[in-house]
Amino acid sequence: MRLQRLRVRNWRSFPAADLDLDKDVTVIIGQNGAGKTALLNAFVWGLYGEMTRGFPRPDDLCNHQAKLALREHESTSVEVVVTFLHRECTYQARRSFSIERTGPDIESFKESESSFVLNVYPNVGHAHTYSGRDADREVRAILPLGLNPYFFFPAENIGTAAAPDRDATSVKDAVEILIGLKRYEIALTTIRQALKHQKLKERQTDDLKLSKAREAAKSARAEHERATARLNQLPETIRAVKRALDEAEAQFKRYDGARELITQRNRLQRDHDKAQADANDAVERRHRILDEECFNLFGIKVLESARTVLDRAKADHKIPPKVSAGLLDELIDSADSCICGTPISVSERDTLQALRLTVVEDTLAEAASNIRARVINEHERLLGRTHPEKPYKRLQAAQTAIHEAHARRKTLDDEIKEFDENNPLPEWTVSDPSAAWRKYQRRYAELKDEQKTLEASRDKLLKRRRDADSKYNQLTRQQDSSDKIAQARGQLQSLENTIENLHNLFSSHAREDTQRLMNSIVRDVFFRSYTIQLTDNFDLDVSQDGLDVGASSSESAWVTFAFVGALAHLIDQYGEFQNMAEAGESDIKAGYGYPLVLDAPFSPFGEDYASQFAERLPRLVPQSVLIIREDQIRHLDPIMTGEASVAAYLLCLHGPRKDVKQTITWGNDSWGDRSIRPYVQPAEDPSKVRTEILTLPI
Amino acid sequence: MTNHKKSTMDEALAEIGALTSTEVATFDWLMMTVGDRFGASDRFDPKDRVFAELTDQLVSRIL
Repeated sequence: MRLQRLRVRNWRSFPAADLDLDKDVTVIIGQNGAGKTALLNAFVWGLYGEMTRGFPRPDDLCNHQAKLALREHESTSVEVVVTFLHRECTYQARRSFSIERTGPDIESFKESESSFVLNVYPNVGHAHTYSGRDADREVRAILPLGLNPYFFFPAENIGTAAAPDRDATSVKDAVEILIGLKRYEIALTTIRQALKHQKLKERQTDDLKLSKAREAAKSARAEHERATARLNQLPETIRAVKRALDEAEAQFKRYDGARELITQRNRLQRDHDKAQADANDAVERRHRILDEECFNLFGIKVLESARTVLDRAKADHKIPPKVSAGLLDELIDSADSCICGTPISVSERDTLQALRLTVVEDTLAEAASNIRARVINEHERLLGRTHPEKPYKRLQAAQTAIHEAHARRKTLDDEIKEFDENNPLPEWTVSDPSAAWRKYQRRYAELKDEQKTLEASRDKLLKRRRDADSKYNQLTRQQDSSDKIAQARGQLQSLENTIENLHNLFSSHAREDTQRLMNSIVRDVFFRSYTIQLTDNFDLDVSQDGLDVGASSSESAWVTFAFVGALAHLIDQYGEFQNMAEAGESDIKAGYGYPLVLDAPFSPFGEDYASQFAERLPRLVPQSVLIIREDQIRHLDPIMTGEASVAAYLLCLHGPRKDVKQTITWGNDSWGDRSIRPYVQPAEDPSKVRTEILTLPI
Repeated sequence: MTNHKKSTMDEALAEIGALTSTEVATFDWLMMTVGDRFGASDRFDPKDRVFAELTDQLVSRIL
């Protein structure tokens, strides 16, 4: 950016002024009250519609004399036009408003809203005109509003700018503005507000709720479908049951007509069955008796017992042989075979015969009787329970019962056969037509009832199904919406993280560049041996030879102007960086950067360093406008004797010296007579630098 | 381009590259709209009507 021209009309103390600024250095000289600060403010108001930071807006921007000269209903305009070059384009920024005297009273004035027009004349192509907010946007894209205090700089207020031990906010703000991080902050704030947006705060549908609704809908659908299917199927079922019922009824009627015969036959059958059952019982009983009494009925056991007794008697020589033989014969006869049918084997019979032959007759009948009794007793003792005759009688009774039952059954068989031949019965397919008829009748009634119930509930089930479906669909839609919300929140959070990271990345990057450039400026331009550190929090730590540098006026000024110089270079380089494109190099280049308009530039330096600053200023920025008090003009000497192309203007408080051009010779040699405005002396030495001083009217 | 700056740009591109295509589109739209609405302004008020409109637009866009 390079300033070309400043033109004002009815601006504060200036009825009119036109400054050609197309020099590397422009010097504007004036006494206190001559309007130096009004000129500084003209730049800021012309470009931004505001006053320089730290200066309250005056009640009246219009030139007082011009205002008073207005007659009633007469108007005039206040206008500031700033012309500058930037990137192959010439810009003309014109801000103005009109003022009208509305009455005879001295306070009766009416100001219009100010208007702002920006004309852009590219070196190649057509001119553009912007107005209002568009014009503001264009100007602020070239030099952001927040950075203008560093470039239209009231040096008397240097304490408000960057300096050691100062509040880091201003430095941090400036760096963030420099790199366009405000856009990221705005984007971040937008995202954070969006995250709190009502639309995104809607609660997500509970999965369980949806799952329950899904189950309910599924169940209602199934129930309705079951009922529908059942209703569709029921008539056929009912017809089938009705057919079965009719058949059962027919059978039942036939059955009912033959009831007496059936009763008779059933009685015969029952008797027959009973006879058969009796026979079966008797057979069972005989088997049981045989099982129970087998030991008692088996004669061989008796023989064995008797033999044991005889053997013992023989050994004692007390057994009369005849008696014993008779006993044995009896025993052999009775034990020919067991009653249960088990034959005595040949060897057993031989054993018995052999035993008989060995027995001798005994003549003692008494003894024989005793022995017999004794044997019988022994026999009974050994049998343990009963005499062999008892079981035999039981067995005989059982066999008799079997015979009788079989005989009775046979008789009944004949009777039934005869009955069936004489009394033919109707046929039926079921064993009990009466029960079948009742069963089908009950079933038919049940089905009819079910049909009625289903028909009655069909509409209700359909409604329930529709309600459940509707609820489920609604919840599904909510779930969809909820998914969208979750997705949107995720997207916002992702963007928030990214933008925050980019913000931090660029901020860190700009901080490092600023620090490097400030160190470069203090070392290579100002020849100060400071080391400047810009902390993560953008605090300025300044040291010299390892010791902290304090905040004296001149030290603050060196650091501050290093910061301003860094901004002046970086702002141009970062112009593209704001759009995420490649940024320029971070080194100082001659003729590169932004101009400085400095009001009272030497104030902070005092006598010691003011001239040094003046000498080094052209190396700091490619263009500067210095608005200085008359008594500080001597500090300009290094500039004027240097290589810079310089223009100078004199702000005259007194006297009509309009358009008077005067010549001043700059250089140490001419400082001899300073008591009487040395800068208006005519040049005596042509070899000295000659500068035109244009006197501006007041 | 210095290595320092190249590294910064690489990191920045990596940050943006980590976004989905939808997110990149929203990011581009947001940064462009912020630029249009606020220009190079370094001042903004979260309570500003324009700001609230921007928030609404962002929400409508992503929903």
